[in-house]
Amino acid sequence: MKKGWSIVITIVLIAILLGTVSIVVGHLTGGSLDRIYSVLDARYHLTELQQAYTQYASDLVDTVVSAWNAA
Amino acid sequence: MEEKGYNTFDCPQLEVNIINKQKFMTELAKLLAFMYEEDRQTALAMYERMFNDAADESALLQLLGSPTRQAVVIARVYNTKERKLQVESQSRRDDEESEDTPRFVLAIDSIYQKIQVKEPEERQVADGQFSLFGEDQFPIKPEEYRPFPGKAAAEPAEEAEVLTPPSEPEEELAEPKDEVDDFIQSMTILNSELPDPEERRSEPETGESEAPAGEPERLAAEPVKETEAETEADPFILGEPKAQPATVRKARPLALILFVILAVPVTIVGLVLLLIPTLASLGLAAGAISAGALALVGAFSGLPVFADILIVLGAALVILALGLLFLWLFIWFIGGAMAGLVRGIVNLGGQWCYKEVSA
Repeated sequence: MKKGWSIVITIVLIAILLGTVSIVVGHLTGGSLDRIYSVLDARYHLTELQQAYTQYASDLVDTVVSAWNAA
Repeated sequence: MEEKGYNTFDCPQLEVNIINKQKFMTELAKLLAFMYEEDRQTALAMYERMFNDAADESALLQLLGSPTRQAVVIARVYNTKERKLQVESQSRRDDEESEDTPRFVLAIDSIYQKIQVKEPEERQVADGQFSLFGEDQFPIKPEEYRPFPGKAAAEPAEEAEVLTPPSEPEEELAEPKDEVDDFIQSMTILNSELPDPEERRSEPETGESEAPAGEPERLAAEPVKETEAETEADPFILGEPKAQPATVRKARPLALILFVILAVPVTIVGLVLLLIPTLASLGLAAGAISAGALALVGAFSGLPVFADILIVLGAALVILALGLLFLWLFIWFIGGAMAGLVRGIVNLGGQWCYKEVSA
């Protein structure tokens, strides 16, 4: 188990280091989060998904509250 | 240069010899660190006497070879445990005047005998020369060395046959190409690697089993017999306890019932409490790995700018790394924490509810 921990921690640290370097380099070379979001939104409909989940959570909370009040 | 009270400035050759002798003795003293201090001093005193008796020290050095070679010769016949037993037995029956000569003394003595055989005539000083060595030069105190035993001197051939392999040629010392040299070549013995005598006492006896094939059977057979004797005499030396008498584990019924009644709910509560972080870790791992995979796919699906791809790739790597960490946490909770909790409670029950009774 100790060996497993050391291996996992090593892999995780290396991956986080590489990811951080990649993000920093991307920002330094002109990357833009707004542009990324707009592209991914156009492809995966992120805004609509977010609205749908928000609406679903709100409905769920309303249902629970009304059921609690009825009881 | 002053050596033992007389000057050698006008004799460069002698100075070189003394330096070589000093180097030889210093190196030999280091290499014999595995011996008990008294035995080491005895061995060094015998070599010192050998040098003192020699007419030509450079010839003696040539015959002896390197200090490493001499240390190997001594190490092959020196057994720390055997020596300790020998000293103990001598101290027990000192009134019987039992003179068990140590093997290393016999080994050095056999070397000395061979050297004496090789150069009896070379010890004479030529008529045209004068000798700086008088009969009373290099006085050695009696307690500084153990003299070559009379028994060994009287029966050198018999003891030498036991101590040295029969296949060894007579020219062993003159031509140091034998199994000792092979051993020296194959094994580099550094001073720092020599075991401490105290440590050697606690090590199990394995060295004698590595004796070369040419070793007499007596040398190979004795350590087994003496190791058994030593186990009975002083088990602390081997670091192994004596065989314990057979015991049987007997349950305490009342304690066992009470423990089961208490341990089962405690274990269930503990497992449930551990289940919460376990499932949370699993959920976080699944979410992180899914998000990381989506980000990884998204990075190569329509992002026009390379800098944006780099940012998304970096984010995917970080998220996947966190997913891997949470996944491992889940595995650790299942295989480590939960299993450890159950195992610990079972072991605790074994300690509390069972007692060992001699059969």
